[in-house]
Amino acid sequence: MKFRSLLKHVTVVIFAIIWFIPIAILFITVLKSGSQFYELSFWALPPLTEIPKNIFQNFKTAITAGELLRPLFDTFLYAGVSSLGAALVSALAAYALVHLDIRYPQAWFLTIFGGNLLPFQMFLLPIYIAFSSIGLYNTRLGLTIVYFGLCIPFGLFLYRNYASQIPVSFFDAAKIDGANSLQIFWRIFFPMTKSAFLSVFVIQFIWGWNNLLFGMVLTEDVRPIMAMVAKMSPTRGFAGTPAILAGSFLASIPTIVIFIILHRQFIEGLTITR
Amino acid sequence: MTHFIKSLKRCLELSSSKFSSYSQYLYLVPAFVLTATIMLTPAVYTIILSFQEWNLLTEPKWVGLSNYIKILTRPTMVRAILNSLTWILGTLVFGAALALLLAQLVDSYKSKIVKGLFTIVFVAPFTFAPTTMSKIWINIFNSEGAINATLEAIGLGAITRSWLSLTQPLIPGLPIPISTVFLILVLCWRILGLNYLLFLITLESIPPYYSEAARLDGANEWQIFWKVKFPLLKPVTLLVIAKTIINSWRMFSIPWVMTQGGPGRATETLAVSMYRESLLLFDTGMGAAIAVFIAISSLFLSMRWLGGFTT
Repeated sequence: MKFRSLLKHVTVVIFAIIWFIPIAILFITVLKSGSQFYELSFWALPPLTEIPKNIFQNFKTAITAGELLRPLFDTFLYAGVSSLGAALVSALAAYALVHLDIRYPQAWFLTIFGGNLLPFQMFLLPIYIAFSSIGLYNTRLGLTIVYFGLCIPFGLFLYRNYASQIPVSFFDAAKIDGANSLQIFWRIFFPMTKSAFLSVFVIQFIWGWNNLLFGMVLTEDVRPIMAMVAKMSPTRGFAGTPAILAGSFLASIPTIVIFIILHRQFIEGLTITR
Repeated sequence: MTHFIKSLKRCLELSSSKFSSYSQYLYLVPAFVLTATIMLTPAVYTIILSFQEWNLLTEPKWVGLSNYIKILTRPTMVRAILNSLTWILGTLVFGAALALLLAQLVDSYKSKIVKGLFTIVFVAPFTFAPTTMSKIWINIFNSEGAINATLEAIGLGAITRSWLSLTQPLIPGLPIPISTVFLILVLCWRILGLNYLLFLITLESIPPYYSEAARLDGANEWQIFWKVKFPLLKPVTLLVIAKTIINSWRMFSIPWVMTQGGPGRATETLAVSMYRESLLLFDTGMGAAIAVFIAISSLFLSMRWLGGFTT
Protein backbone atom coordinates (compact mmCIF):
# COMPACT_ATOMS: atom_id res chain seq x y z
CA MET A 1 0.00 0.00 0.00
CA LYS A 2 2.80 2.39 0.96
CA PHE A 3 4.64 1.62 -2.27
CA ARG A 4 1.53 2.31 -4.31
CA SER A 5 0.92 5.74 -2.81
CA LEU A 6 4.60 6.60 -3.32
CA LEU A 7 4.26 5.53 -6.96
CA LYS A 8 1.21 7.77 -7.25
CA HIS A 9 3.00 10.86 -5.90
CA VAL A 10 6.02 10.25 -8.11
CA THR A 11 3.90 9.83 -11.25
CA VAL A 12 1.91 13.00 -10.69
CA VAL A 13 4.97 15.07 -9.78
CA ILE A 14 7.00 13.84 -12.76
CA PHE A 15 4.26 14.69 -15.23
CA ALA A 16 3.64 18.04 -13.52
CA ILE A 17 7.35 18.87 -13.97
CA ILE A 18 7.31 17.79 -17.62
CA TRP A 19 4.19 19.88 -18.19
CA PHE A 20 5.76 22.90 -16.51
CA ILE A 21 9.16 22.80 -18.29
CA PRO A 22 8.05 24.41 -21.60
CA ILE A 23 6.46 27.30 -19.69
CA ALA A 24 9.64 27.66 -17.67
CA ILE A 25 11.61 27.73 -20.94
CA LEU A 26 9.32 30.47 -22.24
CA PHE A 27 9.98 32.65 -19.19
CA ILE A 28 13.71 31.92 -18.94
CA THR A 29 14.14 32.86 -22.60
CA VAL A 30 12.10 36.06 -22.41
CA LEU A 31 14.29 37.24 -19.49
CA LYS A 32 17.38 37.26 -21.73
CA SER A 33 18.45 39.73 -24.35
CA GLY A 34 19.00 38.58 -27.93
CA SER A 35 22.77 38.37 -27.50
CA GLN A 36 22.62 36.79 -24.03
CA PHE A 37 20.52 34.02 -25.53
CA TYR A 38 23.50 32.94 -27.63
CA GLU A 39 26.23 33.73 -25.08
CA LEU A 40 24.76 32.21 -21.93
CA SER A 41 23.98 28.52 -21.61
CA PHE A 42 20.35 27.59 -22.28
CA TRP A 43 19.17 27.20 -18.70
CA ALA A 44 21.21 30.10 -17.24
CA LEU A 45 19.54 33.28 -16.10
CA PRO A 46 20.98 36.71 -16.99
CA PRO A 47 22.18 39.10 -14.22
CA LEU A 48 19.21 40.10 -12.11
CA THR A 49 19.59 43.83 -12.77
CA GLU A 50 19.26 43.40 -16.52
CA ILE A 51 16.05 41.38 -16.41
CA PRO A 52 13.49 44.24 -16.42
CA LYS A 53 15.32 45.97 -19.26
CA ASN A 54 15.50 42.71 -21.26
CA ILE A 55 11.81 41.94 -20.82
CA PHE A 56 10.85 45.45 -21.88
CA GLN A 57 13.20 45.31 -24.86
CA ASN A 58 11.93 41.89 -26.01
CA PHE A 59 8.27 42.92 -25.96
CA LYS A 60 9.16 46.22 -27.62
CA THR A 61 11.05 44.44 -30.40
CA ALA A 62 8.21 41.97 -30.84
CA ILE A 63 5.70 44.78 -31.23
CA THR A 64 7.82 46.96 -33.52
CA ALA A 65 9.82 44.48 -35.63
CA GLY A 66 7.03 41.91 -35.57
CA GLU A 67 4.40 44.59 -36.28
CA LEU A 68 2.07 43.10 -33.69
CA LEU A 69 0.12 46.18 -32.63
CA ARG A 70 -2.26 46.40 -35.61
CA PRO A 71 -2.99 42.65 -35.62
CA LEU A 72 -3.78 42.76 -31.89
CA PHE A 73 -6.50 45.35 -32.48
CA ASP A 74 -7.71 43.68 -35.67
CA THR A 75 -7.98 40.29 -34.01
CA PHE A 76 -10.04 41.81 -31.21
CA LEU A 77 -12.36 43.00 -33.95
CA TYR A 78 -12.46 39.64 -35.79
CA ALA A 79 -12.88 37.42 -32.74
CA GLY A 80 -15.00 39.89 -30.77
CA VAL A 81 -17.56 40.79 -33.43
CA SER A 82 -17.90 37.22 -34.67
CA SER A 83 -18.29 35.60 -31.24
CA LEU A 84 -20.72 38.21 -29.87
CA GLY A 85 -22.63 38.33 -33.16
CA ALA A 86 -22.81 34.56 -33.42
CA ALA A 87 -24.06 34.31 -29.84
CA LEU A 88 -26.89 36.75 -30.61
CA VAL A 89 -27.79 35.27 -34.00
CA SER A 90 -27.85 31.73 -32.66
CA ALA A 91 -29.92 32.85 -29.67
CA LEU A 92 -32.53 34.24 -32.08
CA ALA A 93 -32.54 31.04 -34.13
CA ALA A 94 -32.68 28.73 -31.12
CA TYR A 95 -35.55 30.76 -29.65
CA ALA A 96 -37.54 30.38 -32.85
CA LEU A 97 -36.76 26.66 -33.21
CA VAL A 98 -37.72 25.77 -29.66
CA HIS A 99 -40.49 28.19 -28.71
CA LEU A 100 -42.08 29.54 -31.88
CA ASP A 101 -44.32 27.87 -34.39
CA ILE A 102 -41.76 26.76 -36.99
CA ARG A 103 -42.51 23.95 -39.39
CA TYR A 104 -39.87 21.19 -39.53
CA PRO A 105 -37.67 22.58 -36.72
CA GLN A 106 -35.40 19.52 -36.89
CA ALA A 107 -34.69 20.11 -40.59
CA TRP A 108 -33.88 23.78 -39.96
CA PHE A 109 -31.59 22.82 -37.11
CA LEU A 110 -29.71 20.25 -39.14
CA THR A 111 -29.36 22.65 -42.08
CA ILE A 112 -27.76 25.35 -39.93
CA PHE A 113 -25.83 22.97 -37.70
CA GLY A 114 -24.70 20.56 -40.43
CA GLY A 115 -21.68 22.62 -41.43
CA ASN A 116 -20.17 21.94 -38.03
CA LEU A 117 -19.64 18.30 -38.93
CA LEU A 118 -17.35 19.33 -41.78
CA PRO A 119 -13.70 20.35 -41.48
CA PHE A 120 -12.78 23.94 -42.28
CA GLN A 121 -10.90 22.73 -45.35
CA MET A 122 -14.29 22.14 -46.97
CA PHE A 123 -15.03 25.88 -46.98
CA LEU A 124 -11.59 27.34 -47.53
CA LEU A 125 -11.09 27.23 -51.30
CA PRO A 126 -14.56 28.41 -52.42
CA ILE A 127 -14.44 31.29 -49.91
CA TYR A 128 -10.96 32.20 -51.16
CA ILE A 129 -12.05 32.09 -54.79
CA ALA A 130 -15.30 34.00 -54.16
CA PHE A 131 -13.66 36.65 -51.97
CA SER A 132 -10.95 37.24 -54.59
CA SER A 133 -13.57 37.93 -57.25
CA ILE A 134 -15.94 40.14 -55.19
CA GLY A 135 -13.24 42.21 -53.49
CA LEU A 136 -13.54 40.80 -49.96
CA TYR A 137 -10.09 39.17 -50.10
CA ASN A 138 -7.67 40.92 -47.73
CA THR A 139 -10.40 42.95 -46.00
CA ARG A 140 -11.38 43.13 -42.34
CA LEU A 141 -15.03 42.77 -43.29
CA GLY A 142 -14.36 39.56 -45.22
CA LEU A 143 -12.52 37.76 -42.44
CA THR A 144 -15.08 38.91 -39.85
CA ILE A 145 -17.93 37.49 -41.95
CA VAL A 146 -16.13 34.16 -42.27
CA TYR A 147 -15.49 33.86 -38.52
CA PHE A 148 -19.08 34.99 -37.85
CA GLY A 149 -20.56 32.27 -40.06
CA LEU A 150 -18.27 29.55 -38.72
CA CYS A 151 -19.25 30.35 -35.12
CA ILE A 152 -23.01 30.01 -35.62
CA PRO A 153 -23.55 26.21 -35.80
CA PHE A 154 -21.92 25.51 -32.45
CA GLY A 155 -23.73 28.52 -30.96
CA LEU A 156 -27.07 27.21 -32.15
CA PHE A 157 -26.30 23.73 -30.83
CA LEU A 158 -25.49 25.06 -27.39
CA TYR A 159 -28.36 27.55 -27.29
CA ARG A 160 -30.89 24.95 -28.34
CA ASN A 161 -29.91 22.79 -25.38
CA TYR A 162 -30.37 25.65 -22.96
CA ALA A 163 -33.58 26.83 -24.64
CA SER A 164 -35.26 23.45 -24.31
CA GLN A 165 -34.64 23.52 -20.56
CA ILE A 166 -36.74 26.66 -20.01
CA PRO A 167 -40.30 25.74 -18.96
CA VAL A 168 -42.86 26.73 -21.60
CA SER A 169 -45.07 28.26 -18.90
CA PHE A 170 -42.80 31.32 -18.75
CA PHE A 171 -43.55 32.06 -22.37
CA ASP A 172 -47.24 31.28 -22.09
CA ALA A 173 -47.60 33.65 -19.14
CA ALA A 174 -45.92 36.46 -21.06
CA LYS A 175 -48.07 35.74 -24.10
CA ILE A 176 -51.25 36.00 -22.05
CA ASP A 177 -50.01 39.34 -20.70
CA GLY A 178 -49.88 40.51 -24.30
CA ALA A 179 -46.14 40.42 -25.03
CA ASN A 180 -45.15 39.86 -28.66
CA SER A 181 -42.49 37.36 -29.65
CA LEU A 182 -39.67 39.91 -29.83
CA GLN A 183 -40.51 41.23 -26.35
CA ILE A 184 -40.56 37.68 -25.00
CA PHE A 185 -37.15 37.11 -26.57
CA TRP A 186 -35.54 40.21 -25.02
CA ARG A 187 -37.30 40.19 -21.66
CA ILE A 188 -37.46 36.46 -20.91
CA PHE A 189 -35.48 34.21 -23.24
CA PHE A 190 -32.30 36.27 -23.51
CA PRO A 191 -31.87 36.99 -19.76
CA MET A 192 -32.63 33.37 -18.91
CA THR A 193 -29.96 32.02 -21.25
CA LYS A 194 -27.16 34.34 -20.17
CA SER A 195 -24.81 31.49 -19.33
CA ALA A 196 -25.29 30.10 -22.85
CA PHE A 197 -24.37 33.51 -24.22
CA LEU A 198 -21.17 33.57 -22.17
CA SER A 199 -20.31 29.98 -23.15
CA VAL A 200 -20.71 30.69 -26.86
CA PHE A 201 -18.78 33.93 -26.48
CA VAL A 202 -15.80 32.47 -24.61
CA ILE A 203 -15.46 29.31 -26.71
CA GLN A 204 -15.81 31.09 -30.02
CA PHE A 205 -13.71 34.10 -29.05
CA ILE A 206 -10.81 31.83 -28.13
CA TRP A 207 -11.35 29.79 -31.30
CA GLY A 208 -11.39 32.88 -33.51
CA TRP A 209 -8.39 34.41 -31.77
CA ASN A 210 -6.34 31.22 -32.14
CA ASN A 211 -7.36 30.37 -35.69
CA LEU A 212 -4.46 30.38 -38.11
CA LEU A 213 -5.71 28.90 -41.39
CA PHE A 214 -8.30 31.45 -42.53
CA GLY A 215 -6.17 34.46 -41.63
CA MET A 216 -3.24 33.01 -43.59
CA VAL A 217 -5.33 32.32 -46.69
CA LEU A 218 -7.82 35.19 -46.79
CA THR A 219 -5.68 38.20 -45.80
CA GLU A 220 -2.31 39.77 -46.52
CA ASP A 221 -2.21 43.29 -45.07
CA VAL A 222 -4.84 42.85 -42.35
CA ARG A 223 -3.62 39.49 -41.04
CA PRO A 224 -4.84 38.39 -37.60
CA ILE A 225 -2.35 37.97 -34.79
CA MET A 226 -1.68 34.23 -35.16
CA ALA A 227 -0.80 34.54 -38.83
CA MET A 228 1.68 37.31 -37.90
CA VAL A 229 3.21 35.24 -35.10
CA ALA A 230 3.48 32.16 -37.32
CA LYS A 231 5.78 33.92 -39.77
CA MET A 232 8.13 35.45 -37.18
CA SER A 233 11.48 33.70 -37.43
CA PRO A 234 15.13 34.51 -36.69
CA THR A 235 15.99 34.13 -40.37
CA ARG A 236 13.73 37.01 -41.39
CA GLY A 237 16.03 39.63 -39.90
CA PHE A 238 14.07 39.38 -36.68
CA ALA A 239 15.79 40.22 -33.42
CA GLY A 240 16.34 36.71 -32.12
CA THR A 241 14.56 34.01 -30.20
CA PRO A 242 13.74 35.95 -26.97
CA ALA A 243 11.80 38.58 -28.90
CA ILE A 244 9.97 35.92 -30.93
CA LEU A 245 8.87 34.12 -27.77
CA ALA A 246 7.87 37.44 -26.20
CA GLY A 247 5.69 38.14 -29.24
CA SER A 248 4.19 34.65 -29.22
CA PHE A 249 3.36 34.98 -25.55
CA LEU A 250 1.92 38.47 -26.05
CA ALA A 251 -0.39 37.01 -28.70
CA SER A 252 -1.86 34.57 -26.17
CA ILE A 253 -2.28 36.95 -23.22
CA PRO A 254 -5.84 38.08 -24.15
CA THR A 255 -7.14 34.52 -24.42
CA ILE A 256 -5.35 33.48 -21.22
CA VAL A 257 -7.08 36.33 -19.36
CA ILE A 258 -10.47 35.51 -20.86
CA PHE A 259 -10.07 31.82 -20.07
CA ILE A 260 -9.17 32.57 -16.46
CA ILE A 261 -12.27 34.75 -16.07
CA LEU A 262 -14.72 32.52 -17.95
CA HIS A 263 -13.30 28.98 -17.58
CA ARG A 264 -16.48 27.79 -15.87
CA GLN A 265 -18.61 28.80 -18.85
CA PHE A 266 -16.03 27.31 -21.21
CA ILE A 267 -16.23 23.88 -19.59
CA GLU A 268 -20.01 24.10 -19.19
CA GLY A 269 -20.32 24.84 -22.91
CA LEU A 270 -18.28 21.77 -23.81
CA THR A 271 -19.98 19.29 -21.52
CA ILE A 272 -23.62 20.23 -22.05
CA THR A 273 -25.55 17.25 -23.34
CA ARG A 274 -28.57 17.01 -25.54
CA MET B 1 -59.71 62.79 -42.26
CA THR B 2 -60.28 60.63 -39.18
CA HIS B 3 -61.95 58.15 -41.45
CA PHE B 4 -58.87 58.03 -43.65
CA ILE B 5 -56.57 57.46 -40.69
CA LYS B 6 -58.85 54.74 -39.39
CA SER B 7 -58.83 52.88 -42.66
CA LEU B 8 -55.09 53.27 -42.98
CA LYS B 9 -54.71 51.82 -39.50
CA ARG B 10 -56.86 48.85 -40.39
CA CYS B 11 -54.83 48.31 -43.52
CA LEU B 12 -51.63 48.23 -41.47
CA GLU B 13 -53.15 45.91 -38.87
CA LEU B 14 -54.32 43.55 -41.55
CA SER B 15 -50.96 43.41 -43.24
CA SER B 16 -49.13 43.06 -39.95
CA SER B 17 -51.35 40.20 -38.80
CA LYS B 18 -50.84 38.48 -42.13
CA PHE B 19 -47.14 39.14 -41.81
CA SER B 20 -46.92 37.88 -38.25
CA SER B 21 -47.95 34.37 -39.19
CA TYR B 22 -44.62 34.08 -40.95
CA SER B 23 -42.62 36.53 -38.85
CA GLN B 24 -41.22 33.77 -36.64
CA TYR B 25 -39.12 32.67 -39.61
CA LEU B 26 -37.34 36.04 -39.52
CA TYR B 27 -35.53 34.83 -36.40
CA LEU B 28 -33.89 32.09 -38.45
CA VAL B 29 -32.85 34.34 -41.34
CA PRO B 30 -29.50 35.71 -40.05
CA ALA B 31 -28.26 32.29 -38.90
CA PHE B 32 -29.43 30.59 -42.07
CA VAL B 33 -28.06 33.20 -44.50
CA LEU B 34 -24.64 33.30 -42.83
CA THR B 35 -24.16 29.54 -42.56
CA ALA B 36 -25.51 29.02 -46.07
CA THR B 37 -23.02 31.48 -47.58
CA ILE B 38 -19.98 30.62 -45.47
CA MET B 39 -20.46 26.86 -45.02
CA LEU B 40 -23.13 25.09 -47.06
CA THR B 41 -22.58 26.65 -50.49
CA PRO B 42 -18.77 26.44 -50.22
CA ALA B 43 -19.04 22.78 -49.14
CA VAL B 44 -21.09 21.92 -52.23
CA TYR B 45 -18.67 23.85 -54.44
CA THR B 46 -15.70 22.04 -52.87
CA ILE B 47 -17.30 18.71 -53.80
CA ILE B 48 -17.68 19.90 -57.41
CA LEU B 49 -14.08 21.19 -57.47
CA SER B 50 -12.80 17.85 -56.27
CA PHE B 51 -13.78 16.24 -59.58
CA GLN B 52 -11.90 18.88 -61.57
CA GLU B 53 -8.37 19.83 -62.43
CA TRP B 54 -7.88 23.57 -62.11
CA ASN B 55 -4.93 25.88 -61.45
CA LEU B 56 -7.19 28.95 -60.95
CA LEU B 57 -6.00 30.46 -64.28
CA THR B 58 -6.99 28.18 -67.15
CA GLU B 59 -10.41 26.61 -67.70
CA PRO B 60 -11.27 23.91 -65.16
CA LYS B 61 -11.22 20.40 -66.61
CA TRP B 62 -13.40 17.48 -65.48
CA VAL B 63 -11.21 14.57 -64.42
CA GLY B 64 -13.66 12.29 -62.63
CA LEU B 65 -12.24 10.42 -59.69
CA SER B 66 -8.59 10.88 -60.58
CA ASN B 67 -7.91 13.31 -57.68
CA TYR B 68 -9.25 10.74 -55.23
CA ILE B 69 -7.16 7.99 -56.81
CA LYS B 70 -4.10 10.23 -56.37
CA ILE B 71 -4.89 10.59 -52.66
CA LEU B 72 -4.81 6.84 -52.20
CA THR B 73 -1.78 6.13 -54.43
CA ARG B 74 0.66 9.06 -54.33
CA PRO B 75 3.45 8.38 -51.80
CA THR B 76 3.22 11.91 -50.31
CA MET B 77 -0.50 11.52 -49.73
CA VAL B 78 -0.25 8.00 -48.31
CA ARG B 79 2.37 9.34 -45.92
CA ALA B 80 0.07 12.23 -44.93
CA ILE B 81 -2.73 9.76 -44.16
CA LEU B 82 -0.38 7.58 -42.10
CA ASN B 83 0.97 10.66 -40.30
CA SER B 84 -2.56 11.78 -39.44
CA LEU B 85 -3.42 8.30 -38.15
CA THR B 86 -0.30 8.46 -35.96
CA TRP B 87 -1.54 11.79 -34.65
CA ILE B 88 -4.81 10.16 -33.60
CA LEU B 89 -3.05 7.26 -31.91
CA GLY B 90 -0.51 9.47 -30.13
CA THR B 91 -3.05 11.98 -28.82
CA LEU B 92 -5.42 9.22 -27.67
CA VAL B 93 -2.63 7.76 -25.54
CA PHE B 94 -0.77 10.86 -24.32
CA GLY B 95 -3.61 13.39 -24.54
CA ALA B 96 -6.66 11.37 -23.46
CA ALA B 97 -5.66 8.21 -21.57
CA LEU B 98 -2.87 10.00 -19.69
CA ALA B 99 -5.35 12.78 -18.82
CA LEU B 100 -7.69 10.21 -17.26
CA LEU B 101 -4.84 8.67 -15.28
CA LEU B 102 -3.64 12.03 -13.96
CA ALA B 103 -7.17 13.21 -13.15
CA GLN B 104 -7.80 10.01 -11.19
CA LEU B 105 -4.51 10.37 -9.29
CA VAL B 106 -4.97 14.07 -8.52
CA ASP B 107 -8.61 13.53 -7.51
CA SER B 108 -7.45 11.23 -4.70
CA TYR B 109 -5.59 14.10 -2.98
CA LYS B 110 -7.57 15.42 -0.06
CA SER B 111 -5.93 18.87 0.08
CA LYS B 112 -7.65 21.47 -2.08
CA ILE B 113 -4.40 23.44 -2.46
CA VAL B 114 -2.44 20.44 -3.80
CA LYS B 115 -5.29 19.65 -6.18
CA GLY B 116 -5.48 23.25 -7.35
CA LEU B 117 -1.74 23.54 -7.94
CA PHE B 118 -1.56 20.38 -10.06
CA THR B 119 -4.65 21.48 -11.96
CA ILE B 120 -3.10 24.87 -12.76
CA VAL B 121 0.10 23.21 -14.01
CA PHE B 122 -1.76 20.74 -16.26
CA VAL B 123 -4.33 23.21 -17.59
CA ALA B 124 -1.98 26.18 -18.16
CA PRO B 125 -0.72 24.91 -21.56
CA PHE B 126 -4.29 24.72 -22.83
CA THR B 127 -4.66 28.48 -22.49
CA PHE B 128 -1.81 29.01 -24.97
CA ALA B 129 -2.68 29.28 -28.65
CA PRO B 130 -1.35 26.39 -30.79
CA THR B 131 0.79 28.90 -32.66
CA THR B 132 2.29 30.27 -29.44
CA MET B 133 3.01 26.76 -28.19
CA SER B 134 4.62 25.76 -31.44
CA LYS B 135 7.01 28.70 -31.16
CA ILE B 136 8.00 27.58 -27.65
CA TRP B 137 8.47 23.95 -28.71
CA ILE B 138 10.59 24.82 -31.76
CA ASN B 139 12.94 26.28 -29.17
CA ILE B 140 13.01 22.90 -27.43
CA PHE B 141 13.56 20.61 -30.42
CA ASN B 142 15.83 22.62 -32.74
CA SER B 143 19.60 22.28 -32.81
CA GLU B 144 20.27 25.06 -30.26
CA GLY B 145 17.19 24.09 -28.27
CA ALA B 146 16.53 22.89 -24.74
CA ILE B 147 17.00 19.17 -25.38
CA ASN B 148 20.39 19.55 -27.01
CA ALA B 149 21.56 22.12 -24.44
CA THR B 150 20.62 19.72 -21.65
CA LEU B 151 22.25 16.74 -23.38
CA GLU B 152 25.48 18.71 -23.78
CA ALA B 153 25.39 19.87 -20.17
CA ILE B 154 25.21 16.29 -18.91
CA GLY B 155 27.94 15.09 -21.27
CA LEU B 156 25.81 13.48 -23.94
CA GLY B 157 26.80 15.99 -26.64
CA ALA B 158 27.35 13.10 -29.05
CA ILE B 159 23.65 12.39 -29.51
CA THR B 160 22.51 15.97 -30.09
CA ARG B 161 20.68 16.54 -33.35
CA SER B 162 17.97 18.61 -34.96
CA TRP B 163 15.05 16.57 -33.66
CA LEU B 164 12.48 17.90 -36.10
CA SER B 165 14.55 16.80 -39.12
CA LEU B 166 14.63 13.11 -38.22
CA THR B 167 13.03 11.53 -41.27
CA GLN B 168 14.01 7.93 -40.50
CA PRO B 169 10.92 5.72 -40.38
CA LEU B 170 9.35 5.33 -36.97
CA ILE B 171 8.24 1.78 -37.77
CA PRO B 172 10.38 -0.08 -40.33
CA GLY B 173 8.54 -0.31 -43.64
CA LEU B 174 6.08 2.52 -42.99
CA PRO B 175 6.91 6.04 -44.25
CA ILE B 176 6.11 7.74 -40.93
CA PRO B 177 9.08 9.92 -39.88
CA ILE B 178 10.28 9.92 -36.27
CA SER B 179 9.85 13.70 -36.10
CA THR B 180 6.06 13.27 -36.37
CA VAL B 181 6.16 11.92 -32.82
CA PHE B 182 7.71 15.15 -31.53
CA LEU B 183 5.03 17.22 -33.24
CA ILE B 184 2.32 15.03 -31.70
CA LEU B 185 3.78 15.58 -28.22
CA VAL B 186 3.21 19.32 -28.69
CA LEU B 187 -0.51 18.79 -29.25
CA CYS B 188 -0.65 16.35 -26.32
CA TRP B 189 0.96 18.99 -24.13
CA ARG B 190 -1.89 21.33 -24.99
CA ILE B 191 -5.00 19.15 -25.04
CA LEU B 192 -4.13 17.06 -21.97
CA GLY B 193 -5.13 20.03 -19.83
CA LEU B 194 -8.64 20.31 -21.21
CA ASN B 195 -9.24 16.55 -21.13
CA TYR B 196 -7.83 16.37 -17.60
CA LEU B 197 -10.19 19.13 -16.51
CA LEU B 198 -13.22 17.40 -18.06
CA PHE B 199 -12.31 14.12 -16.32
CA LEU B 200 -11.51 15.79 -12.99
CA ILE B 201 -14.80 17.68 -12.86
CA THR B 202 -16.73 14.48 -13.53
CA LEU B 203 -14.72 12.55 -10.93
CA GLU B 204 -15.35 15.26 -8.34
CA SER B 205 -19.07 15.07 -9.03
CA ILE B 206 -19.17 11.37 -8.04
CA PRO B 207 -20.34 11.19 -4.40
CA PRO B 208 -17.55 9.75 -2.20
CA TYR B 209 -19.88 7.22 -0.55
CA TYR B 210 -20.06 5.28 -3.83
CA SER B 211 -16.44 4.23 -3.49
CA GLU B 212 -16.67 3.92 0.30
CA ALA B 213 -19.54 1.46 -0.03
CA ALA B 214 -17.55 -0.55 -2.57
CA ARG B 215 -14.51 -0.48 -0.28
CA LEU B 216 -16.61 -1.82 2.63
CA ASP B 217 -17.69 -4.66 0.36
CA GLY B 218 -14.01 -5.50 -0.10
CA ALA B 219 -13.29 -3.98 -3.50
CA ASN B 220 -9.71 -2.83 -4.16
CA GLU B 221 -8.79 0.54 -5.76
CA TRP B 222 -8.48 -1.02 -9.22
CA GLN B 223 -11.95 -2.54 -9.00
CA ILE B 224 -13.42 0.67 -7.59
CA PHE B 225 -12.06 2.62 -10.55
CA TRP B 226 -13.27 0.25 -13.26
CA LYS B 227 -16.53 -0.97 -11.70
CA VAL B 228 -17.75 2.15 -9.88
CA LYS B 229 -16.18 5.25 -11.40
CA PHE B 230 -15.56 4.34 -15.01
CA PRO B 231 -19.23 3.66 -15.88
CA LEU B 232 -20.03 7.14 -14.59
CA LEU B 233 -17.16 8.59 -16.65
CA LYS B 234 -18.39 7.00 -19.86
CA PRO B 235 -20.20 10.01 -21.39
CA VAL B 236 -17.28 12.36 -20.79
CA THR B 237 -14.84 9.71 -22.04
CA LEU B 238 -16.75 9.43 -25.32
CA LEU B 239 -16.72 13.21 -25.64
CA VAL B 240 -12.96 13.36 -25.02
CA ILE B 241 -12.20 10.50 -27.44
CA ALA B 242 -14.30 11.98 -30.23
CA LYS B 243 -12.90 15.48 -29.74
CA THR B 244 -9.34 14.16 -29.63
CA ILE B 245 -9.76 12.06 -32.79
CA ILE B 246 -11.33 14.88 -34.80
CA ASN B 247 -8.83 17.44 -33.54
CA SER B 248 -5.85 15.28 -34.53
CA TRP B 249 -7.29 14.18 -37.85
CA ARG B 250 -7.76 17.82 -38.91
CA MET B 251 -4.56 19.20 -37.36
CA PHE B 252 -3.05 22.08 -39.29
CA SER B 253 -1.50 24.77 -37.12
CA ILE B 254 1.10 22.83 -35.12
CA PRO B 255 2.80 20.98 -38.02
CA TRP B 256 2.53 24.08 -40.19
CA VAL B 257 4.18 26.45 -37.69
CA MET B 258 6.82 23.96 -36.54
CA THR B 259 8.01 22.30 -39.75
CA GLN B 260 5.71 23.52 -42.55
CA GLY B 261 5.31 19.83 -43.28
CA GLY B 262 9.06 19.39 -43.81
CA PRO B 263 11.77 18.35 -44.15
CA GLY B 264 10.58 17.86 -47.69
CA ARG B 265 6.99 16.83 -47.15
CA ALA B 266 7.80 14.24 -44.50
CA THR B 267 5.72 15.48 -41.56
CA GLU B 268 2.68 16.69 -43.49
CA THR B 269 -0.72 15.95 -42.02
CA LEU B 270 -3.77 15.77 -44.29
CA ALA B 271 -4.68 19.39 -43.54
CA VAL B 272 -1.15 20.60 -44.35
CA SER B 273 -1.19 18.61 -47.62
CA MET B 274 -4.51 20.19 -48.50
CA TYR B 275 -3.07 23.67 -47.94
CA ARG B 276 0.11 22.91 -49.88
CA GLU B 277 -1.58 21.26 -52.87
CA SER B 278 -4.22 23.94 -53.33
CA LEU B 279 -2.62 27.22 -52.26
CA LEU B 280 1.10 26.66 -52.84
CA LEU B 281 1.08 24.20 -55.77
CA PHE B 282 -2.18 25.58 -57.26
CA ASP B 283 -3.76 22.16 -57.76
CA THR B 284 -7.17 23.38 -56.61
CA GLY B 285 -9.00 20.18 -57.53
CA MET B 286 -6.54 18.05 -55.58
CA GLY B 287 -6.88 20.33 -52.54
CA ALA B 288 -10.66 20.08 -52.74
CA ALA B 289 -10.48 16.29 -53.00
CA ILE B 290 -8.30 16.12 -49.88
CA ALA B 291 -10.85 18.35 -48.09
CA VAL B 292 -13.69 16.00 -49.07
CA PHE B 293 -11.56 13.03 -47.99
CA ILE B 294 -10.95 14.62 -44.55
CA ALA B 295 -14.68 15.42 -44.27
CA ILE B 296 -15.95 11.94 -45.14
CA SER B 297 -13.36 10.14 -43.03
CA SER B 298 -14.01 12.34 -39.99
CA LEU B 299 -17.74 11.66 -40.31
CA PHE B 300 -16.91 7.98 -40.06
CA LEU B 301 -14.52 8.59 -37.16
CA SER B 302 -17.08 10.63 -35.23
CA MET B 303 -20.23 8.64 -36.00
CA ARG B 304 -21.14 8.34 -32.34
CA TRP B 305 -20.84 11.98 -31.61
CA LEU B 306 -22.65 14.64 -33.59
CA GLY B 307 -22.31 17.61 -31.27
CA GLY B 308 -19.37 19.76 -30.40
CA PHE B 309 -16.93 21.76 -32.42
CA THR B 310 -13.36 21.87 -33.64
CA THR B 311 -10.53 24.06 -32.53
